[in-house]
Amino acid sequence: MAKRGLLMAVALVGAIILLLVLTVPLLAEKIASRKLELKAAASRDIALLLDTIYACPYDIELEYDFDLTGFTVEVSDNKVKIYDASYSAPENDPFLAQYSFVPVNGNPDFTLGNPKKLFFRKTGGILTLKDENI
Amino acid sequence: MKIFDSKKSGEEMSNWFWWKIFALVAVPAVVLFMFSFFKTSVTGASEIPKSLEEEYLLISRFYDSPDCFAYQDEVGRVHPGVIDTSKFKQENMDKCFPESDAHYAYYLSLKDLTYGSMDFGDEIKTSNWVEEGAVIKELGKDILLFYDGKKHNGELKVKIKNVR
Repeated sequence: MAKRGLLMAVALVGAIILLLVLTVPLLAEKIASRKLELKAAASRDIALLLDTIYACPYDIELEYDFDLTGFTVEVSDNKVKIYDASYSAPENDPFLAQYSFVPVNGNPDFTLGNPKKLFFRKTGGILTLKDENI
Repeated sequence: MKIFDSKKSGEEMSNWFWWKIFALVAVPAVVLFMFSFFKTSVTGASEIPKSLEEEYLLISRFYDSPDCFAYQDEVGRVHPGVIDTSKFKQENMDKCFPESDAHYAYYLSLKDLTYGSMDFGDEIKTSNWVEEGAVIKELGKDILLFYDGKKHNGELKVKIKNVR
């Protein structure tokens, strides 16, 4: 009985060590590269920016000078979603970052891959978003 | 390599009961630590400064955007901070603030300050407004009201609820 218990215990410790060995480097890489923070901050940043643009009474052009290479920026369903560019859809990224905004009289739908900069333009109440100067 | 030198320590380490306790405490503790560390790190980095209050950011559209209630004259010039009372209707509110996962809901009413303080027109609300739950903020914004071809002193009263 004691021998069986010892084997179980060793297996258990082994399982814990394996769990740590597999997950910690993955998390450490994500945290060290600041990718998760960047995605969370950028999605909120862009959503608040969109709220501000929609509140602006006049036509407006705005350059968001922040390199988001390696990510896909999707603006749809009144949400800004940022996910790793290696994934084909936002749902596939386990670390998807998203933040909601409220459009005025519209339903913007844009998807930009690996944008180095974002260019927003609102003309006559219509919003366009591109990754190169419009 | 012999891990347990003495017979006694070997017996103790092989005690299944204590290993079960260890597994029940250590594994959840490690998992919880990892998740809390991860969550704190991400939340902290993406925090917007307290001075930038999102609920106020969403209010300016009501009196600044011509697609909401801002007065737009016959030549198409928008007058920010001037509410055209003929636009102050629920159907315009639904276009101005469509359904979304917004964190805040708003309830608006107007006060005419020209001839003393009196309520003016309809009270309108965003589609995510729910009757349950406390109003977290209530504020009055000095604006101008446009009606009868003239601008009048007025106040936009806003009630805000956190709906997330």
